[in-house]
Amino acid sequence: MMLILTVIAITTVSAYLLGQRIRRRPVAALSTALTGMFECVGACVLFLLANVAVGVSVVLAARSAGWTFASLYAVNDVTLVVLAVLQGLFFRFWWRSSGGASPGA
Amino acid sequence: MNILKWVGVTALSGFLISVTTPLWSYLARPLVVEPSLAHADAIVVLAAGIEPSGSLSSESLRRAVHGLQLFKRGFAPVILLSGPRGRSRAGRSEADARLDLALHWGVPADHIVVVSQGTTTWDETQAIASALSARRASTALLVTSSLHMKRARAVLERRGVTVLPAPSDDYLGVPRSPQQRFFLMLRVLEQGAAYLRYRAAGYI
Repeated sequence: MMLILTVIAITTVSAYLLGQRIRRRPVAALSTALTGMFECVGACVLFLLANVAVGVSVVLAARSAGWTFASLYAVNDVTLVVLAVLQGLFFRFWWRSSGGASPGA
Repeated sequence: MNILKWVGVTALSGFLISVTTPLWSYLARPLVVEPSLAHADAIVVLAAGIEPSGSLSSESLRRAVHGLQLFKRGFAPVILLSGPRGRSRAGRSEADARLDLALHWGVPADHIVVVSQGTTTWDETQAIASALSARRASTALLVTSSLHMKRARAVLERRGVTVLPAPSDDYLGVPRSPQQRFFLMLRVLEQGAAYLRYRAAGYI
């Protein structure tokens, strides 16, 4: 755990110094960036929950209709997480760029 | 209030707590059944998946080896190996692959029962209960993962089998690294949801 925290601390401080000294980014913008990061994570989590809910519904519907057998474990796939991240990032930036505020803001 | 922001804050906080503390080891306790090793009429090894190549999944292999060890220690005269064909494209079921393993371990063929039906715990235990009944076996040492044990035992006991739990792992004792804690969280959520679904459906 200490190794991971050390690695994260080194790269985070490096990126901060790079942004402040070389690219002249204002320190005050950090809180905006933090809020943006939380929004991105929130969007990704909501898409993940929606994907899991839809996946479970489809599997159960297919079973009850007798079309085919599909395991519910298929929904527990890391690919779903990665795609939910892409969905979350894409739609969060779209919502921001089109109206200035994300849903629920 | 920005919903996305607060969902993100909650999710990140939950993630950090989950990977840095033993939270999920405590939350998993209601799902875990303590081992109860004693002589039984049969050892039942539940399915856990087979690869498309026909190789046993790591979880399937872990369960099978644990069951074979119990057999070798004389806990039961018969070992029942379960497992459907699943994703295998090699033309053999998980139970067949486990049969090869058992024969390789020197288990006599007439002490092995193979069950290849059932793609869910509910269906699988039905086929197992029928096979046990045909051999007049009423007690079974049940081998499955520790987080799956409570649900599997309840279903098999409902079908008239007296179950002695013999979990093939110790999920709660394993997590030490953040990654292991994260995967424990996923397993607890998965098996917890499955247990609640079986309760809601009236299976247990």
